[in-house]
Amino acid sequence: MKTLTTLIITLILSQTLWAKSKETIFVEAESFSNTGGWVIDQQFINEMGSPYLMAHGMGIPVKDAETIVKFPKTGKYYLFVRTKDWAAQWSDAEAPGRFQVLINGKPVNKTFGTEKNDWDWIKGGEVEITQKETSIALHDLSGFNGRCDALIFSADPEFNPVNELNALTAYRHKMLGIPDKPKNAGTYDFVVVGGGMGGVCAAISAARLGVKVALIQNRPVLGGNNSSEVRVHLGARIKQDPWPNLGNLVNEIGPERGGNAQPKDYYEDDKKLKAVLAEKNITLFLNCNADGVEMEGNKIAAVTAQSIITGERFIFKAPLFADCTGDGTIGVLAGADFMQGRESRDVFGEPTAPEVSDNLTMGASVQWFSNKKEKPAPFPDIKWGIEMNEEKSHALTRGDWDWETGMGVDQTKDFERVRDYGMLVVFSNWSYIKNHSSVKDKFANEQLQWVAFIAGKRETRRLVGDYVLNENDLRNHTVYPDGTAPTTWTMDLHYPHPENAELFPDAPFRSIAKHIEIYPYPIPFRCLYSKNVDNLLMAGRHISVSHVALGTTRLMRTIGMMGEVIGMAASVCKKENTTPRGIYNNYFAQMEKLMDKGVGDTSLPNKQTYNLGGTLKK
Amino acid sequence: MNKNKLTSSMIITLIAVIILLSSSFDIRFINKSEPAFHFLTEDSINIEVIALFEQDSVLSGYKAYVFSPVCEDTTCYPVELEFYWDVLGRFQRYEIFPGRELTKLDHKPFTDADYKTLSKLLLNNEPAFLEMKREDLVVKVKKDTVDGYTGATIAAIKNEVIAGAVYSCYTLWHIAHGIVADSIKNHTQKHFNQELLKKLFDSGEIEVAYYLTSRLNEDQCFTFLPEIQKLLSESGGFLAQHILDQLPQKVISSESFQNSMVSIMPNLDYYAQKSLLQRLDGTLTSDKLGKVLAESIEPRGSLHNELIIEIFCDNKSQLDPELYQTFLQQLLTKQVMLNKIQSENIKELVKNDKQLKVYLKNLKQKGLVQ
Repeated sequence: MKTLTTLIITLILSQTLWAKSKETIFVEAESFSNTGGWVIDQQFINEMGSPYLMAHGMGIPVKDAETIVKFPKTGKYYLFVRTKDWAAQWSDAEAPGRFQVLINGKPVNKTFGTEKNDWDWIKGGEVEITQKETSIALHDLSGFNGRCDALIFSADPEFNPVNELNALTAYRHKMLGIPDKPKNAGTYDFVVVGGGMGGVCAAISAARLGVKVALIQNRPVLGGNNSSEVRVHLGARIKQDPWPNLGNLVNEIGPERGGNAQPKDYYEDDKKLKAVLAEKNITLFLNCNADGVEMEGNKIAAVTAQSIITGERFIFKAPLFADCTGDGTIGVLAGADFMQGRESRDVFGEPTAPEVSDNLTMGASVQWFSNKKEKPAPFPDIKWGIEMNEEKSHALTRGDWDWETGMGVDQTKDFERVRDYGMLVVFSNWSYIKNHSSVKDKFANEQLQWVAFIAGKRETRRLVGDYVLNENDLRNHTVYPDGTAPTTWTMDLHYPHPENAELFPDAPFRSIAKHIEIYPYPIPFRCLYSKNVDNLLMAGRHISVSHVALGTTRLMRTIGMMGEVIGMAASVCKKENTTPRGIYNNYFAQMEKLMDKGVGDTSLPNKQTYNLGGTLKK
Repeated sequence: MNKNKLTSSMIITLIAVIILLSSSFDIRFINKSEPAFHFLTEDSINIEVIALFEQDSVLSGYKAYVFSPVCEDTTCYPVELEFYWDVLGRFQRYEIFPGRELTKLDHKPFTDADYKTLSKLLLNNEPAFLEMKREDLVVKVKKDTVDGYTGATIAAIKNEVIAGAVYSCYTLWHIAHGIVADSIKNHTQKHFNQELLKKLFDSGEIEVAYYLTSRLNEDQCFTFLPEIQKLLSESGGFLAQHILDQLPQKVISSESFQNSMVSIMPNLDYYAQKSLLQRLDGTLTSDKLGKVLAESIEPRGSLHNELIIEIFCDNKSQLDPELYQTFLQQLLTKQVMLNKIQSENIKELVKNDKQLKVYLKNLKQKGLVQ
């Protein structure tokens, strides 16, 4: 199986995908054989239809992305590039994400990324193809997040590409020769979707208990918000009452150093990957975005997924699934009941809930930091940002969790705008500090070293389980017999920073946190499986909790422990041929024994001692 | 000192006095002190800790004269003050000696704000540098940079420490919160007496309750059984579970304790109940408590049920025979599915008892026994 995995991953990574239909050729940008300094961004597939390449250079143009395209014949073609001017919704100034298309090293007579504020095909005009095997490259002009989904070369002067999402997807599949029937990626005991702390721990936990697992992750690295792509450190406490051996696995795979927005090696991506690869019962699918389900009654029969590099489709079959996506993606696809926004006070009788329900959620963070260089490090005086001045700007060298945007925006449907605004404010602020601020001399040698392009989400949807944990349970410490992973962080809810909201009333980008301390509280098992999808477990910020209770359960060590628990549940489901609800009703004693023992290495010293958070128990 | 400074100093002094008077175990009416123990700091400085008493025999806290060299960058100088802890080894406050005020880098004296920062830091159990090594506290920066620092305090701890005295802060915090805390806890245990224990129980502090219930001997537990029962009934979090895990077996096995649990047990949370059940296995002697256990069997499969079944199967000779009928009737009524081991144990339990065999037959008829 390991060989098969390696083969699939190798195929995914090595195959440059381009396709021709008669005299029209479709080239996926993310399939370029050499992506150069461009990054693959898959976060918004459901919004705009595809992963894309992005020139995330933080103001310094990135290296060209390049591939060889085979043309059926030489001659004249009409070029179309699917792209957008990402900052157009906030500014009329010259677009930030400008780039060129190079054909055999020569730019076509058009600069892309300069028009349309939503994804569309931009005409590149006539191009002359003189060789059947021609080098096509994307040449970044700004370092400010130019982006390209795909290119079309058509010899047909009447050709007009489709842009409506469903039609475009069908067209992509046709042009790339992707069959309607996805490739069989295997049959497993347990399919875990999402490779953050919850998913990784779920997969390892289940695998160690003899369960055959497929782990599907839509990024090239594991760790989710704790990966080097997002750089949020782990938080909350492990090894707590009533299950002091939960968290041993989190301790095994968790980074030893704390800190948000720190250098890449703080997040120890390799440690998580090695831990997964060490399990013979896990087949790992990186760069694979799960986006469909096949149902049999109230049960998921299979999950389908797409390679974010080649577009190839796969199907994963199992009797049991885990949604560890954070967004509840699999649950929602399967028709699971879910909650979103803030519940009103009368729903659960929570003192902290608003009187009237609303759509406010916590936001997503785009963190960043700069480094001091030997020489002055200029930064462009950008015109396309939001307006800054002494009062509005922040003379900082690091943006932590509180650079948070998107509260109140549906981050499952409009997240590209949220992420882009997060980057826009970082660049706007930095441009002001570097070029206009009264302290600009002090910042002369500072250079933006890292700005997240994968934004760290806190809250989107919450799937409804057989129980919905709420503030009163936590405040009153009303514990239930099916308690599992102890949540220890405060009920920590984020709101727009009042001063920032006054200065930026349309879209504040700084936040504050309000805390309510709790005793360590074991999250009921009934919060970890769907109420109406019978074979769906979950671990992550999207478990069955109220908005207020989410304030404590969303911490990543807690989520990792949820993963440990649902991995154990998968082993009991397999052994007893039952469902998660069946475990609760009939086999919970087995879960208690497993939680008592734990699945992690008990001999390791506890390295998870940073960012513990306050708790009522010492 | 200007008028504003004078006023603020007076306010600080007043607040300090109020805190001092309102603290449960602070050092009031001290009329005896004696050397308690010595400990070595991370810099191998030997420090003697003095135990403080009120009313001659009641331990009230500890103090120590702290003298340690500290090097900030390339300059080293002595730090000299007095630390005070409560009887659980929790840092309370420090005092400086007249004429020997603390200094920062380049021998600049501490300001009022610096003393306040130090106080706040020393009272913080989890400062940002908790897991850091001394060498990680500053980043080395070249002299020609804008800040002109040779060593700049890292951003993560900047708000909690005193600029120019970061190593002093680090050193003093580790003296205040290091090995001394556990040593004090151990030393206090040697001075347990009625008055001190009463005072500690009366404090109502959860941390004190955890401490006490881990360290009381059997006799002390029996003496303070009402207080322990009160904690079991009223405590939050997992204290009840902790107490039931920690109590000496002789206490758990006593009929007086078990009878007292008749009214307390139904109100304990699931995890505390489970701890009690684990401790009762093989030691249940109270028929009253046995009845409570039998009636708390639930239809849902859980470890709680398994433990109750184990207790009844292990305790046959010690309990009222009628209780076993109640127990088996509960299994029938709640339709508890028995696994193979439980089934065997139940068969063993009833094998010499005609009346109980009827229950087994009924359990078999319902398909509950394997």
